[in-house]
Amino acid sequence: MKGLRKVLTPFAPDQSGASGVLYSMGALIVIIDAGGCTGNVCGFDEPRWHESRSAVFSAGLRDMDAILGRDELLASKIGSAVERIDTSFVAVIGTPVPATIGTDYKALKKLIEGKVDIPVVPVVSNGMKLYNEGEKEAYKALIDEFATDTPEVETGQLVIGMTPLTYGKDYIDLTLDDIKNIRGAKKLVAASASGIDACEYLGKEFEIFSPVFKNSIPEGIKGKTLVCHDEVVGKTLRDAGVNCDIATFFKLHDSVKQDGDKKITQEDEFIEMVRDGGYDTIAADICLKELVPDYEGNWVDLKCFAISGRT
Amino acid sequence: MLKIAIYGKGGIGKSTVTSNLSAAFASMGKRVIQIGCDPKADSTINLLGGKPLKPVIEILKDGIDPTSAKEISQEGFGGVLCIETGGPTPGLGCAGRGIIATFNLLDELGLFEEYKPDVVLYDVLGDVVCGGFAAPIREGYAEQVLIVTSGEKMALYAANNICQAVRNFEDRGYANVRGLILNKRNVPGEDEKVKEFADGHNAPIVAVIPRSDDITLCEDKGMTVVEGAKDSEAAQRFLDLAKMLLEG
Repeated sequence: MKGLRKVLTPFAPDQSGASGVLYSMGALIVIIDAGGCTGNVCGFDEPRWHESRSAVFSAGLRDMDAILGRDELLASKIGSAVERIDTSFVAVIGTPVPATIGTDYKALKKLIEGKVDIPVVPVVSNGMKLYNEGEKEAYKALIDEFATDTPEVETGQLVIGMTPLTYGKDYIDLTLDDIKNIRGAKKLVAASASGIDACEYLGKEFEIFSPVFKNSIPEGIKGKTLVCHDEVVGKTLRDAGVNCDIATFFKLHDSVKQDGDKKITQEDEFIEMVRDGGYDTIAADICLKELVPDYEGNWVDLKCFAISGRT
Repeated sequence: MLKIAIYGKGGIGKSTVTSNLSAAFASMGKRVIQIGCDPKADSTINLLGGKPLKPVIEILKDGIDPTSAKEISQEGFGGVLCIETGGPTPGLGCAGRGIIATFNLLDELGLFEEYKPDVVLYDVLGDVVCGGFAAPIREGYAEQVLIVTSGEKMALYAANNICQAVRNFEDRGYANVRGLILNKRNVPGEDEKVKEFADGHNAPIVAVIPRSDDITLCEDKGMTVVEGAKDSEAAQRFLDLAKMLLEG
């Protein structure tokens, strides 16, 4: 059955990606849900939760909120929270509930900004896309709200899209000041699919590579290799001399894609690539190995937090 | 770009008015898009020779992922680009969500950027019953609301609800009520009743459409009166309204 997962658990969804981008920005983050999506973000999709503080809240929607569309009540609750929490802006993140009842984020921004003196940044996620899409939407919303055309500070290199969901403990946080001055960066590096989307949205020149793998091919990779991870991880290894095809459950941009690369959606597509590809090595999260128990080649564990929750 | 949403009680003639307005704009050389936002998906039928258009939700239901506006639209009389959102089987699912999904798709396809219309008309189901049916008047979509009414009590009741809903959205940056279109049913005291309503709601009557057999006969042939009886009084009223709306 198309879409049925027999082995893998669901990957991190878009609201987790959005929250991950915003986590280090000093925002009051409000996930517009009944509580479960926020629980998922804090309990499973955010490795920094136990090591650093961030104000992540659930809107705590209930049945009558959904039936009546009580945006005004939500705006008032957020207004009260802002009075008690030192924060530079409010971010509201969508989930399946507001997507289904048709919450208007532009209107919600206006309502909340009528009650607080700080900017409100809505991120249009719906819980039905994967984390990279939520990261993209968060970057776009932040750029729209904060990125100035005349940066006061000239920044050196900025790496975009190096979030924990892609890179686990090797993440690089961006600050709000980084976003404000992003148009003044001397060099932009897209380190993941969402990084490419963000850089394309900015319309500035950028390079595509993963700082983790640029000068460091993981030990054990040899021969013809299938890299199953974020597309930029695969590209970086290819650029470093690895003879590889890229498979990714996430986005595969035309600027990265080469013959043999594939955007995959189903478990079966990964199984077919391994079966038919004649690969000497598979470089992918070890949790994918269960899909191909008969594969006898070399396996290099490339952890992906969004896939397995392993850092 | 002129972007107008047309609301009114069910059965009051919204689709007739919208299609005739589209035809009137098109006959003035304007590029027009008409988006039917009703699960019945019959808004544009009289621009298309009486042939129904496959609605967007039906296309999505078939598992097709459209990559261009051409896949979900069809050109009708005067080149009017016709789109129907459609919706679920009556009694199932969520029609409002269907409208939102369609609008999201139109955004993703860059419909306005690609087609560059002069006029966009949204023909919206009956009343603003939920968030989905308010989507056409959100920021970025329609900027003006026209309410179709007759002098009948329930039509004016619905018009009042729509005025109220639009007023409720004032702090959200939504569309404003541009005025009323009196689609006459020839009930006693109709003109006076609608004028009283208009004065009470500070919403001018922007057009009076006479009850006309020409409209019925043209619709029987799958046409608007602007197409099928362009010299009729009804057609002239639609042309006058289109001209007035273009002039602001």
